[in-house]
Amino acid sequence: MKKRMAAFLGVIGLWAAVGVGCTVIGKTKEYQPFDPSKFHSLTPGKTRAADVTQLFGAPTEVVKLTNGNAYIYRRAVTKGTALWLVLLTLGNFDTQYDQMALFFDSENVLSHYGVSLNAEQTAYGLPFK
Amino acid sequence: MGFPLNKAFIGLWILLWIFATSGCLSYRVLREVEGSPVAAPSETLRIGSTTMQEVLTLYGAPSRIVALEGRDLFMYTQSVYVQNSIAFGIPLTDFAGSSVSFSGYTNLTRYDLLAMVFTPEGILEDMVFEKGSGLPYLETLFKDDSGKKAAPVP
Repeated sequence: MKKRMAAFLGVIGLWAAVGVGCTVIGKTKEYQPFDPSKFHSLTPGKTRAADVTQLFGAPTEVVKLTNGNAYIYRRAVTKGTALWLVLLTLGNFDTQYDQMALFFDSENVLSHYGVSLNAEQTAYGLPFK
Repeated sequence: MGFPLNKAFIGLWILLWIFATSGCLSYRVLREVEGSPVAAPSETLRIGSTTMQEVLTLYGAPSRIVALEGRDLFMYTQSVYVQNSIAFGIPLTDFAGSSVSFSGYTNLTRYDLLAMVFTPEGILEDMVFEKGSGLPYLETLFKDDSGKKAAPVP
């Protein structure tokens, strides 16, 4: 009886040692210090490019368009999850962006803009979606 | 020893085998998503009348803005990358001069894409939508398009 119990406990212990997985989670942020809450102060037809750079700083990217320019502000958040189960490895990475695109006419006056704030919607998880 | 004890020892040897070969055999699943989901074009979008500001209000800032010759292009994209890989190897180099190894993998990237072209006046001129993430994984991976011929240019 004692031998059987010892063997059984040994099997359980070894199973626990082998079966325990290794989990890694990580977060990467591509940071740009613009404050999206200030975009309510933008007025198409009045706000100038200089006003925008004073509010939000230097843009991440400038694109020359047909009738003017576009200033793009962008930052990203990536969340990664990795799970190692001896024979099986699972990895999942999710990247989402906060983006503002501001369009200026040939006189550098704001004509329209768009905002997408999705960076905080990144999630940890397994690769089964 | 008794029947239950034999089963325990068999289980022990199986676990030891798994533990010993875990460094030799591995299967990996990796998934990377970049960007937020792209919605299908709304029925409110009208070519020839919808303005750039209306699109920006509906979809937010585009993933990419490109200036074409006399036109402006907005692209909203989401990419989904999936990798499955299996590797098996028995390291014999130290005493046999070479090792036995095998590995295989599949990589597939699918895109959801909404592209809109605007006139210099900011009016929607054309749009294309493709939902690549809805395509089946294995069928898309092993689909052979090499035999298809391009359509003749009119």
